[in-house]
Amino acid sequence: MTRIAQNTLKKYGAVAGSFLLFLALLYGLSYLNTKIRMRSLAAAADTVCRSAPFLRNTPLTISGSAEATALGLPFHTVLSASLAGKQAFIVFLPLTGKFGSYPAVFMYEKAMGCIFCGLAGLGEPNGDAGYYGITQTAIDLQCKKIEYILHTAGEVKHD
Amino acid sequence: MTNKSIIFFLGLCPIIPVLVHLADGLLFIAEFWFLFAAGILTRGIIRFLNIAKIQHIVEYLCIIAAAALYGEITGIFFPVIMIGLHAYIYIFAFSYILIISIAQYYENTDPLEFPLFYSLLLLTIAVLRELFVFGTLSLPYTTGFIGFKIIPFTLPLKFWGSSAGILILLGVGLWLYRSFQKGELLPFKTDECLKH
Repeated sequence: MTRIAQNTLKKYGAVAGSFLLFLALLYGLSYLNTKIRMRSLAAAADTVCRSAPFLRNTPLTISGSAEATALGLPFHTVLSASLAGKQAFIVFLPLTGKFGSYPAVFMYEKAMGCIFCGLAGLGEPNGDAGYYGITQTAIDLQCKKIEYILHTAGEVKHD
Repeated sequence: MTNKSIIFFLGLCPIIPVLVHLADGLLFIAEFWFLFAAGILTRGIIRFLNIAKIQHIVEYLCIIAAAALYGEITGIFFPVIMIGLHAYIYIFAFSYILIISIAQYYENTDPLEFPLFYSLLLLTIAVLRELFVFGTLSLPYTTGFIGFKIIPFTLPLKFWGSSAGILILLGVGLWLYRSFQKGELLPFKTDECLKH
């Protein structure tokens, strides 16, 4: 092997090694992300759902992330919960209005259907969504989407 | 610089829908510098490997990979905010202003001029919008936003804080900037109208 070929091999080897290192870092961060963010998201969902007027006196327990095998890509984050002893799901969806994009919290329970609980991460969790430029039409659209997917998708496994 | 001023002022259009809080502005400014550094590093690698033929492909791929990395890092620290911003983190990676900044880094005597002014523009837009709409300034936190009430009453400027309003203000800002450059107030006419 000539010297030039050796040097070229070293160069490309170094770049390939850096690329593999980067992929390992990305995978590690993604795994860490999945584990760490669930705690914060569960806390945020708890705050929003407990402040919702229709859930004030209803016992609610958020147990963790729901493995969204049957839900597919549309939903970024799904948490499993127990609402008065019945299985429920809490779905986080980004809703974009006139004044920004906010994480909206929806709760789905088979008998109750899908209900919009509020916007997460804000000072007033049950502040009017219209105040943030999000229309009722946009909320209803997402509710119908969640109801359809969760109602017809089948069983969802829990963590 | 005439065409670049248009690109500069209107180049943040893709993230206008989400650039409403100071917290959002800070996250996008951090991303801009992160991707800028990744772009500079990529150019260095391209020169090292001497692969000028596929330079642009490698550059864009590295910037997208850096955006993915940034998305994961911010997802760990600010998971609630990232639900709303997630898609825009990737959209921002395709910003033409980023590409121009990276290109100018090696060509210009003042390589950080464009990135610094763009960061200032992002910050100004985010602060103005939040003040106009909510009267607050917010910082990112694990569970969402931490807001500080700056203006105790509601300003009648909500429209100017909306996406449409801020685009109009950007256009006015561009007109003022070009007038300042020429040293006189430019008329509200296009170059084609002036020619005829």
